[in-house]
Amino acid sequence: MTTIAVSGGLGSETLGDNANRRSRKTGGYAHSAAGILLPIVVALAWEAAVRFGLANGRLVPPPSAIFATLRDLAVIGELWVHIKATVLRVAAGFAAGTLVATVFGAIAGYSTLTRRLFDPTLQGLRAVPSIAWVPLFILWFGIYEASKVTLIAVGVFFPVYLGVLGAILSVDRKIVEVGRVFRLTAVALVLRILLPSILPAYVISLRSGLGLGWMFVVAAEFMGASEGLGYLLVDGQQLGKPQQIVAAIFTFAILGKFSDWLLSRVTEPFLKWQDSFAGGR
Amino acid sequence: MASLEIKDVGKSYPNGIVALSGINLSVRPGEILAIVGGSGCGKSTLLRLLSGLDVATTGAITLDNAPVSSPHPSVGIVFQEPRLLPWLSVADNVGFGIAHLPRTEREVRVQTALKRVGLADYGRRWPRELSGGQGQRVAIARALVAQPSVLLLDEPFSALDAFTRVELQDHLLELWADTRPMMVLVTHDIEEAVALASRIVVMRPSPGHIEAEFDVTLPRPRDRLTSRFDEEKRRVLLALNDSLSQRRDATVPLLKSA
Ligand SMILES: Nc1ncnc2c1ncn2[C@@H]1O[C@H](COP(=O)(O)OP(=O)(O)OP(=O)(O)O)[C@@H](O)[C@H]1O
Ligand SMILES: [Mg+2]
Repeated sequence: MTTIAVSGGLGSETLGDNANRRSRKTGGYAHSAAGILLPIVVALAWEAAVRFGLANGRLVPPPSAIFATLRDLAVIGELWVHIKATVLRVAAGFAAGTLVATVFGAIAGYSTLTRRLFDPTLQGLRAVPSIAWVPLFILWFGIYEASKVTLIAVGVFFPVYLGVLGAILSVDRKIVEVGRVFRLTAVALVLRILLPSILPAYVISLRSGLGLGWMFVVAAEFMGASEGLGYLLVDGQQLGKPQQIVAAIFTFAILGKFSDWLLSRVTEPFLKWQDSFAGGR
Repeated sequence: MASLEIKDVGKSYPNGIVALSGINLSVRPGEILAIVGGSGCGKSTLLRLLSGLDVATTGAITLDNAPVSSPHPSVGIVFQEPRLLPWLSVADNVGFGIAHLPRTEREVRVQTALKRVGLADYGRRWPRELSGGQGQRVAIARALVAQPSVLLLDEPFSALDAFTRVELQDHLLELWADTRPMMVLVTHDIEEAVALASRIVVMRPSPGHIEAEFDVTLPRPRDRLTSRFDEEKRRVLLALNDSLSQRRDATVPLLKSA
């Protein structure tokens, strides 16, 4: 794939560095095209099967029915209401969870005493399946937004906390010494050495935190919501509308993938120095 | 000219290991001092004390009559590995220690330093795109760009093959000839010591101390193929062997390369 791209359009490019980067990109597009192939083939096959009467498609609606549902929801404007509600919840929970987790992780990573005091407790809490908090959160925060956002934040918290803590603990002492040799102040040491070296692990933990955020928003919306994609799921089940359920699932997939792509896209410029074995994504 | 004095220095680590004891040494202005000795005899420890990264347990180290207890702006160090920051380009790595200077001056200094180590065109690369020897040269450039009056090198070429090593040794000599900073060079390689040093210190372990010390009087530039060079090498080897013969029963050879 790489060789094709290089010989394909960039023969005159002498800056190897540049050519490399571009070929990677071209390779990337080809890769995503390959990734989309399977779902499309399956969808078309199912559509055909239902069309030609090989399957009745009542419980597993064909793509056309799903898109029709999506279109109807979009036309009456309801789709946007649900998407907006869910996205806002995930965004708020992700932001809150990330913020708290980053601060806790940084403090625990920086100070051994704090780590000894708090980390065991946090690890213990992590062992609790987060859904188990739902009843308690409802008692504490009511059934409206606060309890939902809190639940999502809790889901986001742990991967991010662990990511930050682990990243700080594994910062190479040898590289910190380079900073000491050049007599960096404590602040400069954090900004110029610690921060850049934990960034890759941090981004990975943010991405898994975001994934959990999407997971928990469904749980949160199951516990009673009047709008949101999770509500569409419950509603579809209660009214026997499988196409609405699949439409909501499809929307979740798109949103989850898109937000993950956005996150990695936003952080990419800061990580392009990385020497990972795939040479990027 | 700077002066570096080491008086009665001892170092014990928290785990109770006495890595150094009773070290007395004064580094003369403009000289290249080589420290040779077997593994574990405290060479790196001594260098870390000189750099201010660690503090001596007893005794004192003074640079220009001021005690060294933390890293000093006019002391540069090159470690055994390049230790480049992977998120900075080669040029930014070289300029890491002079970030406080105005941009234009910094760029000029970085470019000069890179040119001096033969990597003028490599400024925009990432560290991962360098070979081991190139990485080590960048590390030397990074230490030199701050214009130190003392340059400490801890086995800087030990991870390299023989050809690259000789090439970099010559490079280092040229750099030294420029401004003649004091250089303290830790090495396992006797040929390296004889080729570079004006004086060689032989160390022995348990606890680390100085066993022998002698001047290398060969004129520069030194030709490695002459019999005088070989003689000088033999002299160091003998000193090392003398120091080893006292521990013939040692199971592990104390000298890695000869
Ligand atoms: N951080 C440390 N904590 C405890 N002991 C240490 C530490 N660093 C080194 N030592 C011990 O101090 C002694 C001297 O170590 P040092 O690294 O100075 O040896 P060296 O002469 O540089 O050896 P080598 O040639 O293998 O690099 C060794 O016995 C080593 O085990
Ligand atoms: Mg050592």
